Formats: sequence, C-alpha cells, structure tokens
Amino acid sequence: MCNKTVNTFLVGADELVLSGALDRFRHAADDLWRAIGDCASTLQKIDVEDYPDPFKALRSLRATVRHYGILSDNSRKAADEMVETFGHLQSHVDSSAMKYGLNRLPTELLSRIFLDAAINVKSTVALSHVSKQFRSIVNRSPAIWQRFWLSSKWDREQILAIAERSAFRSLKADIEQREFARFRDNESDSVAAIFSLLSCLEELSINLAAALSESGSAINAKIRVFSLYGILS
Amino acid sequence: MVIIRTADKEKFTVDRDVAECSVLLKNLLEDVGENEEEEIPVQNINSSVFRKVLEWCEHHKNDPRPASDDSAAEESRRRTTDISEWDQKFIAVDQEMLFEIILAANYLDIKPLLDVGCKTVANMIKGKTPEEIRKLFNITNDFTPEEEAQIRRENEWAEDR
Repeated sequence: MCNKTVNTFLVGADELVLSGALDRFRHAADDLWRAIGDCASTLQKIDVEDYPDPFKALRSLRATVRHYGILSDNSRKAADEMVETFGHLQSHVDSSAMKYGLNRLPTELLSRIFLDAAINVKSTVALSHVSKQFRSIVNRSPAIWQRFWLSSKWDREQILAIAERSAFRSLKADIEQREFARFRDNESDSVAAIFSLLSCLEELSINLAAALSESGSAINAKIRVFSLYGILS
Repeated sequence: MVIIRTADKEKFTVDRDVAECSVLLKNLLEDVGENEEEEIPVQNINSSVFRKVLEWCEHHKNDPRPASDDSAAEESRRRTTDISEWDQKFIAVDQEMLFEIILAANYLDIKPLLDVGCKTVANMIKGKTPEEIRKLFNITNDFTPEEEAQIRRENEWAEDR
C-alpha cells in the first residue's frame, strides 16, 4: 500500500479509537460475557440446588435473559456505530485509492497493463472478477482475448465466447505439448470448433511451437503437424 | 542546457539530450529553438516525480529512440516482458510513485519508460486471484453477491486455462 494510503488508513483508525466506538463495543461484549456466565450458573442451580423450587430458578433465569437482551441491544448499538465508523474508514481508503492508486490510471493504460498481465484465459478472467471497472476494461479490450492457450476441453460455445470478446478479429491459439496428444488422437473437438468460426474471423493462427519444442526430433514434429492437418481435414 | 519548470514551480536545468528522451519536451524544444533562457513548463508533474523521470532519462539518454511510426517495432518492444536489471532497481518504488512515474511517462511521451512502468504493474498482477489483486492495490469489490455469482457461472469453463 502506498504511503499516503497508509496515512489515510491510520487517520481513519484513529477516528475509530477517538470516537470511543471500540471501547463501547468492548464494554458491551464484557457485559454480555458476564451475562452468559450468570445464565450458565442459573442453569446449574436448576440442576443441583433449586430443583425443589424450580419457579425461583426460572424467575432468576428470566431476569438474566432480560438483562442479556438489554446488553445485546447495547452491543448491537455499539456494533452499528462501529459499522458506521468502518464505513467512514472505507470511504477514506477508497478516496485515497482513487487519488493515489491504480484506479487513477486512465483506461488506455490499464488496458495496456492488462494485456501484459493476461497470460492466459484464466488470468484474463481473474482480472475481470476484480471490480466493475476492471471487468468493463477487460471485456472492451479485444486484444486481451486474441491470444490464448487452447484447451482440449472447450466446446464451440466456449470458443465463441472468446471470439466474441476478441470482437471476431484475429484469434491466436497456442497448443501445449500436454494437450497436443488429445488433439492428435481426435479426443477433442476444440480445433474443429475454432474452424467452425472461420467465416466470422478476420484471421486465425494455431501455434504449435510450444507443443513441438518439447516433442523431440524435427521428423516427429512433422508427423505431429501432419496429424493435426489430418484432424482438420 | 534547457530549463524545465514543474507543476510545483521547481526549476530543473537539464541537458538537451536528456530532455529529448521525452517526445513532448523534444517537440516543445523545437518550438523554442536555441533560446536557452525560456522555461519549459510541465504542468502535470511534481518535482519529486520529475526528478525520478530525469534519473531514468539520464541513464537511457544514449539508447536508440523508438520511431514513432514503427508500430511493429513498438509491438515487439512491448511484447518483451523482460525488464533490465537497472530498470528493475529504478522502478522498485512504492505504488504511489510507480503510478506517478507511469502517468508522467505517458504525459511526457517517453515510451520505453512507460513500458517499464506498465510491465512492472503487469508483473505484480500476473498469477494472482481477484482477491489478491484487490488486496495488493486496495481495490473495493463493488460487485453485488448476485453479480459475482453470475460472473463466476459465466466463466467456470475458463478455470483450467
């Protein structure tokens, strides 16, 4: 957290202490704890000493419960005060974040940062779950969605979701070595799903570099590429 | 030498070579010509940030300047995620200063410095969950629980990629 944000946070925390809300809450909680103790000892009396006169014990119990109710009201008031003070504190922190934090960067810079940060669909989606502002930027930045690791588990609908977010421009799908076997062995419809969107896309590239770099000899690589063409045809 | 005045009225006497790392200052200096007495104002930048930017420009003054119309080269530069060791040390500042440097680099049009700043923030974000990103940058989760559930449902399929 930046210095100014920490300072504003500390000012807010001081406010919380100075307003006495914390002390009042602590006292109310102490009282409540004592009341629970009273309740417990009354219940014990019902079991042991006052069994012959249960009405006396019940009256005592009712008084304790009433007392508990008042204390409970007090602690609720103290808790409400704390919520309010925490609200002030949050707004201090929020305004500080707006003034000095990441949120102050203009949309075009955030979009550019997200493009570097979004290394796969999972991280892109994570960005879109941070806040409304992040979601809006991620979903309106087609470039962020254009390059992705193709999962053999995706179907047409899921690939369509990516294509839509990329504004149907160019899609660049990378294939990992661990996934390649599933494509080669015709266990996945993902590649076929991409190709079914060909007519909507401006450009499509499927990159096998990662899959082939770990796969051994060049001949082996050629066979694998050939296999993929086999799937596509 | 040229004189540059920051938003808080501090004056900096700077080598022309160093100042010309900034496309904005380079253009302003061309307008001013050889008149070394004239002060160049930079309205949006405070002295503490400008001092830091100058430190970067001083170190990189002899680097080849990126061509403004070469979009392929720019794209390739941006795609390189590496940050040099010197730049990493330079940019190891608190978040407030980091964002100030990014804004200053954007305003002054110093593309390589803007790259360093943006990549640094991107590296801070990489691999983190939404909650970790919120904590890191002090961002409030302003989704309602219903919205959050809806978004999660929409993107469940992306969890393994």
